Amino acid sequence: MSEGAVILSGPPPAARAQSAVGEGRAVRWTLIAVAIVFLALFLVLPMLTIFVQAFSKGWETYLATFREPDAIAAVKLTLTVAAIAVPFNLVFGVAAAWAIAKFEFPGKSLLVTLIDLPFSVSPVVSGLIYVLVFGSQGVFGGFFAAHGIQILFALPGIVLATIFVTFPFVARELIPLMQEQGTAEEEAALTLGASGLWAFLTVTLPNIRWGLLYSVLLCNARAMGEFGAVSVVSGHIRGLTNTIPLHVEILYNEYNFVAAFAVASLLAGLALVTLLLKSVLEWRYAGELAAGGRH
Amino acid sequence: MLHDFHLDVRAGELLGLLGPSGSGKTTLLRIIAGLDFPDRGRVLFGGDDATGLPVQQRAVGFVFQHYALFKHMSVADNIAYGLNARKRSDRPSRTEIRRRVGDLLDLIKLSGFGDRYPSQLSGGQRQRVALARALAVEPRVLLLDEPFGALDAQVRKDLRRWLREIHDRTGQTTIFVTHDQDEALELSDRVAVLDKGRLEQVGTPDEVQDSPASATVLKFLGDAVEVEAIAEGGQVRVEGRPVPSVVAPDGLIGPVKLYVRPWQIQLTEPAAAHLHGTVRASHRSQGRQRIEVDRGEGRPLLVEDFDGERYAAGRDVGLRIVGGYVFA
Repeated sequence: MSEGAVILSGPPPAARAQSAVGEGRAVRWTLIAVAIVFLALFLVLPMLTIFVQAFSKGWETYLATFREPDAIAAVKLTLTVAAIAVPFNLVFGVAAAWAIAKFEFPGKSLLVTLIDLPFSVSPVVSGLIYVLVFGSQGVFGGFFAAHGIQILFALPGIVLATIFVTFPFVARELIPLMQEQGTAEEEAALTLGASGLWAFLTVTLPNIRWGLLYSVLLCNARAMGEFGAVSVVSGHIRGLTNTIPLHVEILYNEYNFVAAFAVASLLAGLALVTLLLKSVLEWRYAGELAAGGRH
Repeated sequence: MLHDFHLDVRAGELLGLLGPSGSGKTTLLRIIAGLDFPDRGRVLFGGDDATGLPVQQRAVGFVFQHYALFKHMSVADNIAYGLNARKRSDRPSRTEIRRRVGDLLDLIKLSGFGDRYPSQLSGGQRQRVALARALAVEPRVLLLDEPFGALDAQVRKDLRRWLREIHDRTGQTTIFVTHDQDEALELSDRVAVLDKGRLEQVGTPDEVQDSPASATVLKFLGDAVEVEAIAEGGQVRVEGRPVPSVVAPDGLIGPVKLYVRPWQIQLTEPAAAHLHGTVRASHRSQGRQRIEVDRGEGRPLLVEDFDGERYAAGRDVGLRIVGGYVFA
């Protein structure tokens, strides 16, 4: 071998323990330990407490909580609200994302800002908006009252408030995803003779399916768990307008801790399932989810 | 942005739309396809006015630069998409569709790849599938937008030759867009050169190379050097010496710009030369050498010669111009 040739030997640079941006061992472990302790204290411990409290009087008491008519009514109401609000936001979110990602029109950036509004407004304010609009002194209050339609302190009000609060989830996930995918595939479908609807069903929808599922999951978790906005418009009528979160609050205020935590465990369970499915989706279909749309 | 022009595409021909980026060639292609609409002007398909027709009814096949294959469908489903999208009454039977897909897979030399997904194919294979997908609907005209733009050099060349073969076999009227002169000149029956939204020239590859219509066309088709010259009595002179085989257009008298290709300049003895200079650098590629000659002012001249005598940097040389182009 000639002099001056570069000879490579030993482990390749990447295999060395310390990379250029890395810190010393002590710093690394300290950071990890701080993170774990923090997570345990503020996330895992409260979550565990819910289940410990819920089962503190045994299985029987736990199950008895759900035989209460008020609890059953709360679960039913929550499911009903989610069953209306989530599909609505799914349709709206896809339509808005489609419009924003694939077309140019005046007022587009304003629409994008408006979609984010529910995230930046306090949920209590969101609820108050509906009281001001649909209350007896409100803008439309007189009209609906005259036609015998009850909006506030009834299912319609709760649904409206929930829709408002969960508005952004689907659109926010899909907009970056659809922008990234562009319009070439749809154009290809059109040149091949497909109608707009057929192209949407066979090309657009399959391309966004995992992103859509992901966002619906988050939207649903929020729709079932929303407290602030719903609390303002619901009126807290037992067995009628109490959703699961409101029912938990009532039980808690009555010092019925076991029942409160038992019902709360439903929401906690929903959160865990959502988290699990979300992780599976992120792990399995990372490439098909929008990188910019994480919440 | 396109300006007024008229372009006739002949049935069965392979027409190359050539132009620098921003020249409007992709816009023109998309207008023909019905993906964009012109503010005025008409698109005629064999005498039928297609200007107002939506893209679905134009019966065009469009191939995109980045393939635009349907990621979630198999290769066979991609190719069959156009047939499956038809109304039930116009749709061929399942066996017929399967047979056509099989034929097209043979044509693109990917038989046996029908069950694969686009992500499992190389760039060149994907573009072939995109072509088969466009051909499946038996389009009146096949439109290709920079079809080889996303591929590497070797694959480009292979696919180019292969596309020419397919065209010769099927006789499909085809328009393709490219900014690559070699690609347009090698592949096309005729080339349409666009610049800044204007149609500069339409002609066979020989025509546009032998008699470019303008300096723009000439410069876009290859390297050219601008030399100050004088036109006089049909002759063109550089530094007092006439340039052989260049004829000045009638009535053109006085100072003109002579455009010279690198291979229209020879390095010679200073006594017989039009121009003089110093070799700045030279490099060899594929049996030829390209020599940069400094003339003391302006950009260095590029001279191309067979790979013979070496010219070292710093050597004084004479330049003899043996051809070129002048425009009125």
